Amino acid sequence: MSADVDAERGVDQTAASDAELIARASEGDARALETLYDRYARVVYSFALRIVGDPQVAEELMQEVFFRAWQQGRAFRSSRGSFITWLLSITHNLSIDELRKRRRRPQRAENNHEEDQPLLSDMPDESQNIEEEVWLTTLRERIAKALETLPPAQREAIELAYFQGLTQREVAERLGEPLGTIKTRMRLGMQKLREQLGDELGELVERAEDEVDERE
Amino acid sequence: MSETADARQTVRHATDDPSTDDDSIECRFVQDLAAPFALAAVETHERLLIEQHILFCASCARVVRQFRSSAALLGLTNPVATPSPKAKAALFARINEASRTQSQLRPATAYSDFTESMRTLTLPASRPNPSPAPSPAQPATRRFSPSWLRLPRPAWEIGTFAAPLATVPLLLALGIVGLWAINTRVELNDRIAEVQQLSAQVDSLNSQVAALNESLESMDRFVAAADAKTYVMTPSAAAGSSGAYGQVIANPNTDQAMLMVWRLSGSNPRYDVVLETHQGTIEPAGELVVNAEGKGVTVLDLDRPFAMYRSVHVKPQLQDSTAGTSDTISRADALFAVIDPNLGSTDDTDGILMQSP
Repeated sequence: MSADVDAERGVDQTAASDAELIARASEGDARALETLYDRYARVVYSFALRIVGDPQVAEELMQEVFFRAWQQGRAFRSSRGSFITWLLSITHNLSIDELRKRRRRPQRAENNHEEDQPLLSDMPDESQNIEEEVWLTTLRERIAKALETLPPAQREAIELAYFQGLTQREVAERLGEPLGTIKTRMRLGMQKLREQLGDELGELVERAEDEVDERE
Repeated sequence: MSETADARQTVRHATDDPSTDDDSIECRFVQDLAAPFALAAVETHERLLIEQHILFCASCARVVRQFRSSAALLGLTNPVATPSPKAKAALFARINEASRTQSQLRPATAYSDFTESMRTLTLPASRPNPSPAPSPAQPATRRFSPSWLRLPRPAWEIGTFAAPLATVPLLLALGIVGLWAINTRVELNDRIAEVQQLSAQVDSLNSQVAALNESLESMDRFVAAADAKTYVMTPSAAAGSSGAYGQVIANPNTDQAMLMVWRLSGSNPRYDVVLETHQGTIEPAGELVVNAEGKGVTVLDLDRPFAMYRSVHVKPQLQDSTAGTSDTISRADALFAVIDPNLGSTDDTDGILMQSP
């Protein structure tokens, strides 16, 4: 559906909720998907980049994430979680799969792209919805703070698994600790993180519920 | 607070919840691995088991979903980077291509062709009617036409209405065919959507079957393999577990083994599993969690082939998780087994899974 048609029908895509947009996108509304892309492409790309460390691969993964979101939009249930956690879960699964595939393949050269990453944390992007941007930045800060409150051993175990794609057994080997200890650290760390993020998760669920109410 | 004490508190949280009163060993296994699962840090066979279990267990599904939501938020803790504009163009080009392919799968094209050909149909009444030139060789014949039969000639020509009237039935027929075609198209679109959904489900089931096969193959490595052996675990009276028993099944050449125990003390549900090498060093091999009846099962991930070890020990965990390896050695065994290639039973192990705790 073109922007002109939206304008004629009085549909303001940028004001629509995530749940509304993904519902429209799954029915073939490319404009709705574009709005979601504009909202979350940077979040998805940054996350994929953090895991795979290669800007080109991260872009391919980001495209795949949005392509799957478009294909599987009907599977999204806002009553079971927010759109952004759904999108980030897809991103994590695809990125970790890619990372493990790459590890199994012989690598040509070890490229460290960290210096090449176009970090834009200090650069305002006027094309983004300001309210969404502020909300995401605040959420990001709260989560980072919650992660910092974890004991270093628990945080290390979680980060090695989540961002470097190591299995709990590989984490145990890397740290020279028994597997049981690593399992415990992951469980306790995640438990504490959940307690710390209770408000943020609640807020996200409320947002999702509000979106459902608005739709109904 | 120590990690072990924290762990107990976590378990208590889970069991305090009335919705998680399902004390099955599988629920314990799933909830024990819920956090690593949410972090994508479990092995394939564990992931498969959890995914299958949460399809039918609402309380475990809720625990897993909670951990997953928390884990997903970790994805926001990155420095913000921006993708190149061409990535967006490439994505939407791909989506357009996919949309076009999907629409080509539908009967729309055939329908368009059909209607196009209908549009170009030339109605008989509108065809130019070239009047044949009279043959000069044949003189025009005059028909008999008595004057009383001749009707008065109306002021209008019948031919003026004949052509449009002739098209009415044709237009009605075309309308009926058009409606039929539209209905058929809608039905076909619905069928295509159903087929696509079924196809996606089949793909999903295929991948699950492939993962299951992979998992079963890995299980076969140490359970159903021809050279798998069973080692009986002996209880230790010193640890107050004289009624306990267990067995280890392993292929001596692989680095995995399956440990099953019964009637261990359920008051302390967590046990450490350690193995002693032939050189006398002690290596941890994971944790064993038993239910209230003292039943438990776990897969041991080892650092070396099973044949390189001399014995397997199951020891109750201490409250203080800071205890080192030397404390582990000094702790009394709840169960132990001596690994000797000459002692292990090579009885058929295929049926053992049927009687696992």
